[in-house]
Amino acid sequence: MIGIAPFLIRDLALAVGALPNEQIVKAQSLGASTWQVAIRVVLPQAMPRLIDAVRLSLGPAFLFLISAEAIAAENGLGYRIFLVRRFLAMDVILPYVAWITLLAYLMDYALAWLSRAAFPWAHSDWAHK
Amino acid sequence: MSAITVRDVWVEYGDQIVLERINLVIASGAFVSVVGPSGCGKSTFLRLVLGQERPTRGTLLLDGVPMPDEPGPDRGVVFQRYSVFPHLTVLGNVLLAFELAASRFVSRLTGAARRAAIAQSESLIAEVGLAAHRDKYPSALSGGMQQRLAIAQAIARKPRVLLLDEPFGALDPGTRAQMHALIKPLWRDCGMTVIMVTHDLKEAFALGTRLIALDRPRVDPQAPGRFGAVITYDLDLTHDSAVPVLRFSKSLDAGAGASQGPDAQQARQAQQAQGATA
Repeated sequence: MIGIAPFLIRDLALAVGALPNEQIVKAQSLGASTWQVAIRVVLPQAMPRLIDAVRLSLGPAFLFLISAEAIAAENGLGYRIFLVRRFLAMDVILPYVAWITLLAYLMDYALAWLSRAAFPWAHSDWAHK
Repeated sequence: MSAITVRDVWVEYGDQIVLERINLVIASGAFVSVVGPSGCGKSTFLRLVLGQERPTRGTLLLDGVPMPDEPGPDRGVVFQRYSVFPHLTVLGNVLLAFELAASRFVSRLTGAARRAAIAQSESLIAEVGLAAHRDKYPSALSGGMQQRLAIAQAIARKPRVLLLDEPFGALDPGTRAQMHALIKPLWRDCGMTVIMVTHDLKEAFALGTRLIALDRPRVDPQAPGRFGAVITYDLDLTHDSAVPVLRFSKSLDAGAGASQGPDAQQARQAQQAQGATA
């Protein structure tokens, strides 16, 4: 979490900065306050980008997670791998690796689905259904 | 009522003078077309009225009251692009105007208030001919439809002034003609003051009741930013004469006789003489 948060923040800031200024002015000309611009214009448009960023960061996130478990945890998949590593028990390690892969894949899939279901306008192939 | 008074306004960016001594009184309910070459400050003028920019010197008044420094609900705007919100449907885009007004904190409406706002939005959407596309996102609409949606959204809050920044510039001629047929009755019904910046002279003459041309009459080759744009022509298009009346505000004082050709020519000469002495 702490490892990838700076990247997510940076990416989100870039996404917000890339919003055309016209949209902000237009919202203001409809009577929006700064707060309203933030929650009705900027935030909804930043969310799909945030989900994309999280999907991309899943790999590094797992890397951080496994290494953190290896160093300073007392349970978890990564901890178990490092526990049996000293016996070179590949029959135990490989299924654990498979589990990690499956978990990461499922999370990625769930995020992709969430983004399409909640923000269909950001996915041109779904916007017309 | 929505008369705009521009009093001795200058806009400067650092050393560069963009607009020089702009003096203008725009009557309530007028349709003003603003034309001029690229980079002469047309859009700057529009941003001034919108409140996105402040004049370096001078004042802008709306009905005698100084204009607020920020864009607000009394001044609607339609840009050439990016005027609609891509994350909202056609209905959502128009509904947003009502939601922003009614609910300051969460900006959402519920129950009867929401149904009333939806009904209002739907009538607006029908007015601009988008009823069949109510639930589509802007990415599924053509350029002309997006601009129509932007207009519906801009007039939802019943602004006193509607500002159009080359609204039909990116449209093909056929769609543009449709948009002209749409905007004119809307303007008449709402009784708002419209200021339209355009590159299309034909459009400017066809839609406007008054035409303002901005240009830089003086250019110093050593200091290109030294002289800004002034109002070079100010035509009254409400008279049915072959030659439009020059110098709108003066001709009103002079009376109806000013609408004939030779008089207009004289006025132009007088104006040029003035420009030379000034």
